[in-house]
Amino acid sequence: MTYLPEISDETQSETVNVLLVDDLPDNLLALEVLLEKPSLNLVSVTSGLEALEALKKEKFALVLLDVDMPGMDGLETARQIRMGEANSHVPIIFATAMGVKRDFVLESYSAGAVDLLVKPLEPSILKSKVDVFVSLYRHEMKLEQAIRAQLEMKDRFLSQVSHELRTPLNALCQFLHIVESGMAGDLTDDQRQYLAIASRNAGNLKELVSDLVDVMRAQNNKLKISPQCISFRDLLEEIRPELDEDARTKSNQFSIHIEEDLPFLWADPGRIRQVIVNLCSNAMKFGPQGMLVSLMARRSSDSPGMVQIEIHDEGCGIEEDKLKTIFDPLYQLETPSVEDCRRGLGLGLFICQELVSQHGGRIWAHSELGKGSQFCFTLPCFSLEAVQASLGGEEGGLSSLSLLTFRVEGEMNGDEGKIQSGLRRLVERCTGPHRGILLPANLLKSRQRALSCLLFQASGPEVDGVCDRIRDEWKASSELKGYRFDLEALHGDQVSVELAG
Amino acid sequence: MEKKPKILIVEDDTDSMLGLSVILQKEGYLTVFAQDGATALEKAKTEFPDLMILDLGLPSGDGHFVLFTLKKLKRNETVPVIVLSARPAEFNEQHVRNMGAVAYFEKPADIPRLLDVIRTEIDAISEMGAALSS
Repeated sequence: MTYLPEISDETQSETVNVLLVDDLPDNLLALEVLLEKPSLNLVSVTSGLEALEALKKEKFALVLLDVDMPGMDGLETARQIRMGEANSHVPIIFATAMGVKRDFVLESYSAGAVDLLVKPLEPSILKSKVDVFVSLYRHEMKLEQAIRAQLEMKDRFLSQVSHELRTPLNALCQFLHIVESGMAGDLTDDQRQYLAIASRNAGNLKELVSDLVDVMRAQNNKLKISPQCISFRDLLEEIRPELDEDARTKSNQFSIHIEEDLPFLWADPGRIRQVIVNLCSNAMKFGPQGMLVSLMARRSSDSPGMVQIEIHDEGCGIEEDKLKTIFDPLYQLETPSVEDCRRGLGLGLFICQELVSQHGGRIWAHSELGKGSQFCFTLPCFSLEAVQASLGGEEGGLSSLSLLTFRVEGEMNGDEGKIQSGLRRLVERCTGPHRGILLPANLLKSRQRALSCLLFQASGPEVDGVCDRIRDEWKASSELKGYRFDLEALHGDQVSVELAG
Repeated sequence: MEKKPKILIVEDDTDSMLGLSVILQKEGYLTVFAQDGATALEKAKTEFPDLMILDLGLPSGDGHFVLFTLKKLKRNETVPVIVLSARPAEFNEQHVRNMGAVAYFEKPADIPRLLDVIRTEIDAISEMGAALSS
């Protein structure tokens, strides 16, 4: 054992499990006496099946396995261990009283043995072999622990860094806003232009910090989304100015095609905005000036209940073999020329992929060198199934969902937005945040001016209580004054009927 | 002339506090400050702000504590609180909303959006006040 440093104080380290398997209790007793040590936890079992059970429960450093057992013999047990999920790589030492023939030795090793000892066992040989494997195991554990500690330290460091970056960035953005918006006096054209550059760079820094945080969240499975029922057209309307501006600065053309009567989506608007802005800005970045970038949204022909969104560019394209890796974290596209492709992709696509998959969608890309690329992703349409799927394992299922339908009557005079936001506040107050989902206003218009609210995770009496509270709040609310309204509650299975209709 | 709404800014970073104050004053609000938790609660009692903007990482009583205590004070329980923090929303937003915060912004906040939320909350208060006095 020259290649591994000795573990100095064995009694202080955690005990290590060693599994002893022999159908004869006397043999087990002999092994226990021989191997007994405070640092070892010897687990004795008398059959292959018991051995498999024990391996499912705990991690073992070594299995000492008798070959000649009734029922499942040692060879079969070893094969089962190797095929199992827990401890499938545990070292196995066979012990056999059979004459050691060449064929048998080969078969033992192919079944997964790391060593073969012949009975009667020579105590000094057995002990030193067990020591080697236990020592190896301890080192493996130490390494694993060290790696875990390193990863935790990296996460802590990154989260500390991003936290510390946010505070000065906040002050920076505030003062840029103050000067840029003219609060501190009029600006000359030059000043305005230079400030715009400073602002844009502060914006980039802001995105970088939030990307960093998102990657950490994704790697720790903490990247969570809060889906709502949203209209993709409305969402795009909101981001359009930003996308148009991006296209203008790069002298690109930008066009949008959305299928008529595109269903509502069940998605997190902030996150989808992030995905679209990311993909579009990539598209604008990697191409010649003046090219056309287009965004399309339609019902997916391959996956029912999904909407497919595509972003096409006429840029430099991506090589076939790289298409698979572009969604990996820290992937940077090699740039054929400084002019064509100025900056790499970095974290953006990895985050897009994580976000889309959190929604239950899929993201992929097609590309042809010199012709351009298409990035496509799918998102679920709003349906009871989609809502259920995103609630995941929460209790109650369908029967705990309730739908409240509001019908508002009166002269709207273009006040729909105000009513909707008033209603949103009212619902939040009465149901708690994130419990009630308001459907978008234009869905409501088509339903004879009805405004609807889907309330999930609530059952019978609770819903009635919420309805009463909403009625009281409505009467007290000044924004909603002058409108008559009607509130109807549907419970459980009735909800799906309403949504389908 | 109508009385200007008063906003209490609780923020330990002096530059951020000053920046926000300049912006809010230009928007027509009065601003008062606190740079730690204890002062924040003191000012809430003496200044009667119409709205509070609250950082979470604060010396002597962090933002969670301030919010919790504030909501137990009779005179202040209805003051809308907007949390503006460098801490990630996923570990804090639900908690502060449960304690009664009306909104959560991660730093650096989108200023027009922050101003929107402030305006909506202040409008809601003044409309409620008008309804009560009429």
